[in-house]
Amino acid sequence: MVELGQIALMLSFMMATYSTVVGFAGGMLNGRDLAASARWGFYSICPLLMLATASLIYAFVTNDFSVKYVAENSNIAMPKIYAWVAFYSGNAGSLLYIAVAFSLMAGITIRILNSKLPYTSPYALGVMSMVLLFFLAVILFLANPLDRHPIALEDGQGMNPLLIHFGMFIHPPFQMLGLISVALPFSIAIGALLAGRGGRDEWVDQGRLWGMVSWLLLTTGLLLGAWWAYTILGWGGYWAWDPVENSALMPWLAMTAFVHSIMVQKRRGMFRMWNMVLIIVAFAMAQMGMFINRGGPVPSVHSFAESTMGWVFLAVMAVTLFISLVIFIFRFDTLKSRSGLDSIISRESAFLAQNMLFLLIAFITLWGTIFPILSEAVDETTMTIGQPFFNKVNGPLMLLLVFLMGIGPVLPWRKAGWGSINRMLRLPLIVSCLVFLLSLISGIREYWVLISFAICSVSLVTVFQELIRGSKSRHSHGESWGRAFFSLIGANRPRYGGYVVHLSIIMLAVGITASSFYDVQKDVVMRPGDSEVLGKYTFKYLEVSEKSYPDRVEEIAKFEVWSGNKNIGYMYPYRAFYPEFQIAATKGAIHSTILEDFYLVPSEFKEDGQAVFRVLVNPLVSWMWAAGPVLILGTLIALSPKNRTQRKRLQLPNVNVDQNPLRISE
Amino acid sequence: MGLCLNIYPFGLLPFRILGDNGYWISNSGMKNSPYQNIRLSLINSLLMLVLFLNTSCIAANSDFVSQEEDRINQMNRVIMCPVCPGESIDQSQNEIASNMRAIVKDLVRQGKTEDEIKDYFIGKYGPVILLEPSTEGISLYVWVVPPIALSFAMIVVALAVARMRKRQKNSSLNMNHDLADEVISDEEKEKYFAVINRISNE
Repeated sequence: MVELGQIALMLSFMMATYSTVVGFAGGMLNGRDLAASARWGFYSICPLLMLATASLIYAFVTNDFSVKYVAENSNIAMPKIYAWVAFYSGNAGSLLYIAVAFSLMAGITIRILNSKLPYTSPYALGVMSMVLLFFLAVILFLANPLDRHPIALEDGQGMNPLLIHFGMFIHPPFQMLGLISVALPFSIAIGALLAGRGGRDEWVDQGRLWGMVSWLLLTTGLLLGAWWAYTILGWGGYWAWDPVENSALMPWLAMTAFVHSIMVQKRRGMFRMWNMVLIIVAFAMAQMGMFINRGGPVPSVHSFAESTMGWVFLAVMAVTLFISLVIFIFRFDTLKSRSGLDSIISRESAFLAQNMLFLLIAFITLWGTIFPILSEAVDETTMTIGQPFFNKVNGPLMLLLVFLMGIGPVLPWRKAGWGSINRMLRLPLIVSCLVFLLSLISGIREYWVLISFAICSVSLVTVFQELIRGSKSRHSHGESWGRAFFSLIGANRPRYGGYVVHLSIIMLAVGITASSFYDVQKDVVMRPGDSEVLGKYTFKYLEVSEKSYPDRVEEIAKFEVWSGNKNIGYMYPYRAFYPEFQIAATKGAIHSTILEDFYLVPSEFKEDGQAVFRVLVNPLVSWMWAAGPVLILGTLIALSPKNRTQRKRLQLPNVNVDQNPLRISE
Repeated sequence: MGLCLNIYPFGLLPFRILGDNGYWISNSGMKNSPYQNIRLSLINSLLMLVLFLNTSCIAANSDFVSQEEDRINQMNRVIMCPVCPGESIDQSQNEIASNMRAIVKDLVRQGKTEDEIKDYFIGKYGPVILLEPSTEGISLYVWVVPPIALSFAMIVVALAVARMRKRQKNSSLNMNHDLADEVISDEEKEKYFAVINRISNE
């Protein structure tokens, strides 16, 4: 079976080479047949890679330990369902996962591009095949998951036990997919540049579409990662500014800036150069993310897929960045803005400020992440830069972003008069002052929390104000309130979908603020039968039981918990010890309500029956997890295409005659 | 609306003022419209929500954890676990981390200050043990660069805005200027007609 996969890998490598060369040739010679050939060549890669993947998974399921990667990442004791997790839990396998996922997504993208952007698509295809070619080359020549051992082993080493969690079925796939999918808008942008059509804004719709897809994947990956850390890593937190977390955050920041500023180009034909720069930076950061995750120079808890290959990625990142910038400079003259700025106070300038802030946060994050390497190289000073630094520096900047998120959308395009600013921002600002005072009266004394709540309420009120204003004007034209509301959202989906996303960001901001300033943590030593109190929670340690599994021993504590006088049942936090790895993993038990989480996690079970538990009350954490679905919903609304009748109604006389010459005969 | 206002103890005062003269929060000519009521009740519910959130924060934060314990937790979060890079001893499940937590506890109980405890661990493991870089020597750059970057970013935005403003002023003198950008080049015309010819020949 594995040999079949090997052949499929080699064939896909050849096809990727072919479609790279022929794709660029088709673009340069303007040959339709060449482009079509390259396209079909590219389509063939995905099934081939799926075959290779299937052969690897088959090796996992059949315990074929003669395959090196299988022996390193699984053992007989591993539940077979985890074959899927084991597939991408190591370096070589995760590369194959990235390749197969990317070939599928890029195939879909190219299919759509071909009809929408006939001139750009051969070049974009070339760039995408080149990205894929790189991954396939690395797989084939440096880290092939299908290689066999010289000798067959009895049993494998097994998978890192921290990865045995159902969150692992979704978090890493989304995260890797998110990172690699940044290549899609990047290829479209570079394709448009190469075709000399970067200034025509025709790539903007597709660039935005795939930019948002990638943004959605990245966001989902980050949120799932935070959720995984919160439920399994057992320290009661969800984000630690660890190098790998940072490296996933940086491309997210750049992509967030991109999906916003691309709207300015769509609407006003401005920021043409800026968008190119942004997407180039975002792709470089995504590569950086894959580099740090793959055993880069910075020590991290998350480097599961460790190898020395990070440096290959770094080199390729540098080359990509260099070539992209060269292309950018050569096509510089095609990227003049259609118009300038009418007023300093306008939505355009709010977008610009927002973009700068996002990039600034990304830069500071990068700075903090790599500074220990720099200081060691320059001065031989080793140091650690962790959570306290990032919270202090990035926290205020992020609050500023939430503020801009509030006022930006209500500033009109082109020019904002003081009258309209007054009309739109009066209510939000008054309400935010009220919120500030109210919080102060009710006893909040942390000034960052006061500021954060006030800022969040500005953003919240502007969103609702916009929704009500729009519904009202539809209502006054005879639609019922409910109908007015939904048709309002349907009429301008990018805008109102965006508002829904903004709502979810407010939920996140509130949750993060409350849980980072007002969490309560206590370590308690207990014997079975003891009761302790934390806040309104009373918890009684009943007993500990031991359960043996083939790969681990679990010590499960049983608690009875009361909230006030109400019994909320039993909670079972446990500690699992994996003798083969000498690793202990703790699993907290969480009682989650809309207001706060009560979180119990064992730290240590001592010989004499004593046990140490960590108990936390984390306010408003569930708001963060609830923000996830809201965010996805909002993004999907913003992404959903207009329906046909609307498209027809909104159609303008087509000025750009050459936009789609291949369709002209229809 | 009245009901909303009255069950709301804290916001009462500002609301009476706001709601009754209708000036602050309604557009002129829209007094007492259903729109205004919706807005008011939304503001009410928002403020109630805020109150609700506040109480949860406060509830979590009242004094069931002694100040001493609070200090211990604070210290644990800034000290790194030496064998699990990137994790604080607060986070780490490792045995060394739990021993170090015990040491922190002891030191705090002995009445040592934050700096003394930090110095104790620096003495044992070197400055790498702190998660927050110091403000001396080369580490100073970590702290200095972000504000410099911020001012740099602000200057760049200001310059970009000024340039775009200037361009707009120039181009508004010549209104047709915008269209000139859109006209297709000769080279592209050729491409385009080539395609048309090919299609019409087929």
